[in-house]
This record gives sequence, structure tokens and C-alpha cells, in this order.
Amino acid sequence: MGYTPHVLVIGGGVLGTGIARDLVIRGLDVTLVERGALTAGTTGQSYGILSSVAQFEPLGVDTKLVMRERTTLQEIADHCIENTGGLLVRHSDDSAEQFEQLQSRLDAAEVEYEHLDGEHAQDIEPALSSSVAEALRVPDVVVDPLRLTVANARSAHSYGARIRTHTEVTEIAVEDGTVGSVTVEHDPSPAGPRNRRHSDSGRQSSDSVRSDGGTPGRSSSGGPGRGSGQSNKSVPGAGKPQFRQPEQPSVEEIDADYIINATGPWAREVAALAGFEVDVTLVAETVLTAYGNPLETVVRRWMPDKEHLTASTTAVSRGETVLLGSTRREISTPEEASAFPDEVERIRNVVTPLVPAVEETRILRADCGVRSYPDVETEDGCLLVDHGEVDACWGMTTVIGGSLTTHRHVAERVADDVCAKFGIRRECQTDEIPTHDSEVPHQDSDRQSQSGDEYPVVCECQSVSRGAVRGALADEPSTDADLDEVRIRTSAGMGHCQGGRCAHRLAAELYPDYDAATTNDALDAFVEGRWEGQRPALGGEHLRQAMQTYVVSAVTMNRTTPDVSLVPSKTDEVREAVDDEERTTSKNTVGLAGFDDGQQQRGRDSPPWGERPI
Amino acid sequence: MGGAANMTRLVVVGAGIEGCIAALRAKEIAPEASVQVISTAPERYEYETGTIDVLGYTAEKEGPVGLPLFEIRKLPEDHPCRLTGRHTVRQALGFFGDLLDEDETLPYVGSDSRNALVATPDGGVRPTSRYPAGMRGGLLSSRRDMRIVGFEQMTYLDAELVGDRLDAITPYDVTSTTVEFPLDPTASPPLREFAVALDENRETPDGTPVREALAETVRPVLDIEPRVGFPAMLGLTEHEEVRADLESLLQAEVFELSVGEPSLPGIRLRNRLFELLEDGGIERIDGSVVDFETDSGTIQTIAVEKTSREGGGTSREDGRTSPEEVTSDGSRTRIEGEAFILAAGGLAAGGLTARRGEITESVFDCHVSHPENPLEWSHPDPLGEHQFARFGVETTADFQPCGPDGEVLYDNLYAAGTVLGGYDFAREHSRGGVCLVTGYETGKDAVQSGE
Ligand SMILES: Cc1cc2nc3c(=O)[nH]c(=O)nc-3n(C[C@H](O)[C@H](O)[C@H](O)COP(=O)(O)OP(=O)(O)OC[C@H]3O[C@@H](n4cnc5c(N)ncnc54)[C@H](O)[C@@H]3O)c2cc1C
Repeated sequence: MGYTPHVLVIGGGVLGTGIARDLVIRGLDVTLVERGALTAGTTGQSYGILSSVAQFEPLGVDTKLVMRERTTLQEIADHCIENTGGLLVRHSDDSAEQFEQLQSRLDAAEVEYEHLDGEHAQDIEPALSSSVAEALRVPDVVVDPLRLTVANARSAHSYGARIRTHTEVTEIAVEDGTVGSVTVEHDPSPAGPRNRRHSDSGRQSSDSVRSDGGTPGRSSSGGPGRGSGQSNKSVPGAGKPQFRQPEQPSVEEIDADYIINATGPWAREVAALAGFEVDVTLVAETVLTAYGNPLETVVRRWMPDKEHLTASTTAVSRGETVLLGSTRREISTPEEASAFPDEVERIRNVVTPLVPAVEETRILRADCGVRSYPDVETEDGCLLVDHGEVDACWGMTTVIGGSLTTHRHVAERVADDVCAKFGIRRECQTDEIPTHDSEVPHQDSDRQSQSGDEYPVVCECQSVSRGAVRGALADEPSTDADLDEVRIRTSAGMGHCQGGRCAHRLAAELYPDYDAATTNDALDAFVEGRWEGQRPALGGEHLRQAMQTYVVSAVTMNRTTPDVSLVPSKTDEVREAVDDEERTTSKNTVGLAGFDDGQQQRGRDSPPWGERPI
Repeated sequence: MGGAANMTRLVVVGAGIEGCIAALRAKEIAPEASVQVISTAPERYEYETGTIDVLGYTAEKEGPVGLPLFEIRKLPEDHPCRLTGRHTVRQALGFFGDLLDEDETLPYVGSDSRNALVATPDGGVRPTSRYPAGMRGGLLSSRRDMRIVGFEQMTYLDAELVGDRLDAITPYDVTSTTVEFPLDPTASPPLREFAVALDENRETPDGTPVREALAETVRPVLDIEPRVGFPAMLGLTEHEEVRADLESLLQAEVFELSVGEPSLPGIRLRNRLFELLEDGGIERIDGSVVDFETDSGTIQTIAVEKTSREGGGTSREDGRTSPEEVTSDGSRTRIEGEAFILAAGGLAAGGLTARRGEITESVFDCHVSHPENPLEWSHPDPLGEHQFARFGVETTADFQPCGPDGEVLYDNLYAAGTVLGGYDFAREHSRGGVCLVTGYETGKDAVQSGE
């Protein structure tokens, strides 16, 4: 055949990775770019329900399709799917008539379900309240959306796709009715734009030191301290360590033969870069993460909504936590999405009547995700906008809608379409070839304790061992020195302390592959990422944990003050300046002469070992 | 208040540093008084660094403060240390010193006037004033080479990272090594388990006592460093003995580095303070206050639901140790008092409760002011200046909780330690100083207030 078209997929959510995988398996040359880490968008906020009932998808979506996709995903991505089953419940306050309507719709669509009275429903899900009047038992399963996306990406990568995270599309050129080159900005350093500092914090981090001209990823330009691990003294018997440097920021143009815009809620913004207009309906949806796992099945309350969207109250377990939702509102740009403290109570109030134990759970986070829908009904809830047809400009298709459940099918449609455009006749195989295992192989640093635990453990809440962390760091595709890569593969930092106890230990695993400055920046970026969703939830019990984490960070770790460099005494600074130019460029020198050296104090009984003047 | 009759019944709610100091001070002033301490959250000591930080940073100065007592004058006027004045802070430090300086099991050292600099678990620097003797060897403000030893079996402290960072910022050499602790843990994380093994000097599989085996592991990597630091796990009950043994086996000063949580130096301090309470004839009751009764503006009694503590290296079967668990059998007692000191800690300790957008003081429901919108409670930067860090009760200059109008809420109630609002003690590195001085003052005032 000779000629292999190069397709650029924009968006590293479940859909973008799914499309990349399908295309590369069919033999195309594929590059995927994602501006954050994988799953940074809607996918990371999803419940992960592979629904057996299309009624929770936008109107028009075919139930048979949903059922088929659920089964297919179970076959190809079994490693990250749990067969929980689901209950659609009616609270005694809800309309029995509407529930009957739901049933007849399910009948019409030939959905398998079992009707249960309240008591039987409680037998199946003991956490249900006794005020649940009746329930329909449906074969829902739950997928970990993070791991599913990682599995897609690993699989695509193994077939040769380039997966580039922290790479943002900033321009799309259009010339003579054809989409031309795409400009991408790549900034993978932990101190890059994803780690924006709030200037009024009164805190000087190594990145703010760096902003006066240092190179990201290098030790903070003359600011030794936590920002630096490179000794400027000779250590007997030890060579200078060779550190890996995260890739340098760069701006680049990618010339692809075809572009797929799979940026979910950002589809309109990305299409606009090429001057195209697309209509996307955006719905912001806030979901709580609560600590404690009171559920075995997916519980959803049937609450039909006048909108074309169907609102529902949902509770789903994920590991040690349970996701509770949700509140929804239509928004006009994704930037408007954000979670608010009052939503915490509102959601709790609608879930508690179904699952009373929720009343006592600790809410760890409130995250706002954005669902995106086409403004027309389609069989799979998804619309492909071929800009060649719509805008008479060849070279790009925008994908609108789709869900976690239908993503593989949507990817197949997209790939069929792209292949047809290039006259390639190859069948889709993603329904047969299993995805890569989302469980990344552990590195062999682990041992087993006498009681069978793997240790050493880095994240205790989620029982993540050092081998698992190092395995995730070494996994491909991934961005250098990005602790989110570890989180999406292992769930580290997603337990009840939200990384409060483990974040610095996770970061330490980067050392000495990377230098101390990079390690520190990676820590800052990770902590910041974890913090955002916690803030709206701090009106309750979790504030205690937040305070605890803050006290340890401020007192024990002293991460709230600028790094310092210790010199014998302030007057020695001048001499030091000659000896060691680098050290004195830091303004934060502290003269040791002004501090207690442990020698003149009461309670001192013996002379210190090996005292010697320096 | 010369000649005034002292109180005879004082109840201190909270057995943190502030509560213990308040009780001990009250007993010193009024030896005949009955003093009871309700230990509401003793497991909280797992988060205590075990050092007493008087004042580390002020708003005016960027770097760490060298002379904490001197710099107190730079604090805002209504800061607890300003209210009491630096002389009282000095006295409170002296009081603490009298309790623990010459102690055999847990001697504390440090200068009252000058801060020392110690290492953080990730290789940074922090100032402190008084610290257990086991940390003296690790002072960064002492100019001697040091070696840091980490253990493969734990991730609390990455010796290489800490060593390299310290080496880069100090005018002496800091080197590091990571070795195998010479025992296989039964469960993970093994920090407590290893500490207890060192206490008991258990035998390793080849029959060598573990202290010796540890020294043998470290000796070959030791160069000429006069001091060697380990993660803070050198014994729980026999810490000084473990350390002395290692020092003579290694012929170097042996010190501990904080690892964050669980903090054994904090647990040791608790155990020692609780012993001092007992020696002083002060009754300690494990439990939480569930109710209280008042009469004409004074608190009369509190109802305490008793709890019991288990685990945490104190009880163990087949060598396994577990974190502490607090259980309650639901039994309640009513405790009468003439004066009460609220020392139940702040948000982290449970002295304040956050629920549904409200912050309340957990024991006596004292007034706590806070912005209405919970989004204003925190800063967008995880390490920014959070409002929540300043939450606490408002008091008069004598540390009597008051309402928004400044009126004292109960004539016989005082508040000490981190339950006090208005300051970010964590950021100032002043928690130890505030706890000592407010405990010291309220302990005195509470027993002297009755005439
Ligand atoms: C609260 C909630 C719960 C949900 N629950 C379920 C469920 O239970 N079951 C189900 O099937 N579906 C569910 N969904 C829907 C499902 O999560 C989404 O349909 C799906 O994740 C969308 O994936 P995506 O890849 O299309 O979009 P996204 O995951 O949003 O991916 C788009 C990506 O594009 C990136 N991007 C944007 N702009 C640029 C640029 N300029 N350059 C480079 N990259 C860019 C973004 O960073 C983002 O990562 C839920 C959605 C929400 C909000």
C-alpha cells in the first residue's frame, strides 16, 4: 500500500484513546495529544457505570447497542470492570406511575430486569433504606474510567501510536479549504502551566524562584535547598549523580493527514481554532466522593426530568470510596463548571433517603464534570461533524457526545469514517482484541511481609506499594515525573487523606532518577491537583483531615516557607560568595551562628561525639 | 491573688501538651486541689513532632527566627504569646524544663532563647526551641558532618533525597545510606514493630540481638561522620537506652529524624507527660465530653463517656503491633468541677467540629466565628494562608472564652492551646509556645480564681 495516513487525535479522554487505539490497530499512523494528563477531562469525573439501561443515556440511544457495548467491554477490558449489578429504585415518595412507565419502556426495549419489592431489594443491597418501595434489578457493571483510559492508551501505544500528554493544541491552520498544520504547546515539566501558583499565597516555591530565568526541571537557579539535590561539594567515593531531565517545553507543528477532535466538552473551543462552529450542549454535573463503602451495587433513583437529559440520583462504590450524585445545570462554556459547597448538602440530601449510611460518611471531594451532547438525537448519542461536508474544509472531524459505555462503538464509527476517506478497507477489531491490562506490572522492589502484605507501602490508604508506584512511573506511555500518572494507574492519593500522608513519599520515588527540584515540583503539582476538588467539600468532617494535612505540611515539613541555604554566619557570606557563587545568589541564606548548636544548654551531660570546628 | 483560697476541683478537658501543662501547673500552685484531666484524643500525639516550637516565623521576617522570645514583640497584640508576654513564655519554658530536662527516660534539651534548626522528613529545614535529647545530634545548626540512614522496608524517609538536599544547603557534608533493617516485618508499615523490637532488643533470625545487628549493618558504611541519623523509630519505651547502645556500638552520636506520622517522639512525650500526671496525683480519664450542666453563668458538671485505648505498641500478640484504637463501652460519669479548662485542641484534634457549613467548639459550644461561605475557609493554594487554620474560640486577655461582644461566656471556664482562634500557629511555628504558655497561665488562673 505504501502510503499510511497520519491521523492526529486531539483529546486524551476515554474516547480519544479509544479512537487512537482503533485507528492504530487498523494500521494507520496515529498521534494523540492531550493537554493535561490522560483522563484530565470528563472521563476523570465519571461514575464509570456501564449501564444496561439506555434510559440513562440521552434520548434516542438504542438500548441494544448499550447492552452490546457493555458486554464487549467486559470481554476486552475485564481487568478494570466489576460486575456489581444495579438497582433502579423507587422511593416511597416517588410516583409509582412514572416507575411503571419506566418498566414499560424497558419491556419495549427488551431489557432484562427483575422486579423486586422493597424488602427483596434490601436483601440484595443491605445498605438500602426501608423506604425504598420497589426496585428493578438490572445487569449494570462498573468500570474504573481512569484505568480503562490507561488501558486504551497502553494498547494504542503498543501498536505504535504516539500518545503525548501535557501537549495542548493552540492553533489549527486552514489554507485553501483544507485543514493544515496544528500547533501544539508541550510543557511536561511539573512546574509547567498545569502547576499554576496563586500569587497571593505569600509562599515562595521553587518555581517562583525559577521564574526569573531558570530552566524548568533544572535545580532552581541558585536556590539551593529543597529545590536542589545536586551537591556542590565532593562526596568521597561518589560520582555526581546523573539525573533524568523531564522533557523541555516546546512549541511544535504537527502536519497530519487528518484530525479528529475528540475533546468532549471542549469540542467547540477546539473546532473554533480552525474557524469552525459546532453546537454542543454542556451540562455541568457535580459528584461527591465519600469515604466509606456502604454499597455493593449501583443504586439509582429514577427521577424523570423534563429536560432532554435525565437526572438521576446515583451512588456507586469505587474502592474504599463511594461516588454520590448529582446536581446538574446547563452551562455555556466548560470553564463555568465548578463545584460549590451547597451542592454537597443538596446531593447528600437526595441520596440519604435511599442509602441512609451516606449521612455519616465523610465527603472527601466535590468534583464537577461536564457532559457534552449533540443537539440532535442519534442512535448512539453521538454526532460526527465532518467539517469537509459542513464547512467545505477537508481534513477534520469533530466528535460530539458519546459516553464511557458507548465509547468503543463511537471510536469504531470514527475509524470507519476515516478509513473510508482514505480508501482503506480494514475491519474494526477493537471488539475482539483485549485492551492492555490496566494493572501495570509492579517493579520488583516489593517484598511480602509474614502476613502477606506487599511492602514497602507508599500510599497507605490505598495500599499502594513501592513496586506499584515505580511500575507506574516506568510505564509507557507517560509523561516524565508526573505523579498523576501514578494516580491514574494505582489510585494512590485518592483515599481518605487525599494524598495528605503519602504525597511527599510518592514524590520521593522520583528521586534520584530525577533531581530534587523536579521531585519537589512534582510534589507541588500533585498536591495542587488533589486540592482542587477538596475545597468545596471542606464544610464538613473532611476539614479535620485538611487541617491535619496542613499542620503536617506547615510544621513537620515546613513547606510553607521559602527554601533556605545555611551558611556558618551571615558575615561569612562574602567569603562564601567567592567560594561558591551559586550559593549566595540565593537571598535566603541563614547564618548558623545565630542558632542553637546543641552545646550550651542545660541538661547537657556529655560532650558531643566528634566535635570539630569547621 | 495572695492569700486567696484556691479552687479545690479543677477539670481540664483535653490531654494534649496544653492540657497536661495546665494540670501540672495547677497542681503546683494548689497541691491540695483535685485536678482531673479528660483525655479526649490521646492518639493525637501521633501527629506531634515531639519538639516545642516557640516561634519560628513572623510576618516581618522571611527566614526562620533565631531568637524566639525576643521576636514575640513582633507578633500581633492579641496573640497569646503577646498577651502573656515573653517573660511568662520564658517561665512556661522553664516549667517544662523543670519537668523534663533532667528526665531519665525522655530528657529534653535546647536553649530557651535561641532556636535550633532541625531537618524535615523531606530534607528541608525547620526551627524549633526544645527537643528531645535524641534529636540533638541532628541539629542542622551544629556544624558537623552527618550521615543519614534509611531503611529499605519503609518509605517514611527517603534517606538519599534528604541527605542530598541537606548536603546542598549546609556548610558541611551530609551523606546517606539506605540499609535493610535486620528483621522481617510481620506486617506493613513496620515502623512501630521495629521500634518495639529495638525496645526489647529482640533477636534476629541468626540470634544476634537486633541493636547489635543494626549497628553491624550500619558500621561498614559509616565513614568518619561523628553523627548518624535514623528515622524516628529507635524504640518507644526504651528510646534512650536504644540510642545509647547504638552510640557505643557505632562510636558516633546517634539521632532521630522526624518522619511525619506516626511520630514516635510525639507518642513518647505523651507517655511521659501522662506518667508525670500520675506521679503528680492528677487523675486522667480517657473519654469524651458528651454533655455539661451550667448554673448562673458557671459550668457545674460535665458528662464523660469513657473510652479505652488499645494497640499502638502497648498491647501486642505474637509481636504484631497495631495503631491505636479507641473504643467506648458507652459508660458515662458525671464530673463536678469548680473551674474548667478547655484544652481539647483545634480542628485537627476534634476540639472544633465542622459540620454542614458550621464550625462549633465541640465541648462547651463556645463561640467560634467564621465566614459563612465555606469556600472562603480555604485558600486556593493548598499551602496558602487558610482561614480554617485560624478557627478557634475567642477569649478575653485572660483566656476566658467570650462571645462576639467580648462578654465572658462562663465565669469559671478558661481555654488553652490550639483551641484558641485568630492565629495560624502552624505557619508561625508557634504551637509549642502557645500550648505551654496558655497551659501554664490558665492552670494557675483557674485554681486561683476562687475566692
Ligand atoms: C459526573 C459524570 C458522570 C458520568 N458517568 C458516566 C457513567 O456512569 N457512564 C457513562 O457511560 N458515562 C458517564 N459519563 C459520561 C462520560 O464520562 C463521558 O461521556 C466521557 O468520559 C467523555 O469522554 P471524552 O473522551 O469524550 O471527553 P473527555 O474525557 O472530556 O476528554 C477530552 C479531553 O480533551 C482534552 N482537551 C481539551 N482541549 C484540548 C486542547 N486544546 N488540546 C489538547 N487536549 C485538549 C481535555 O483535557 C480532555 O482530557 C459521566 C459524565 C459525568 C460528567
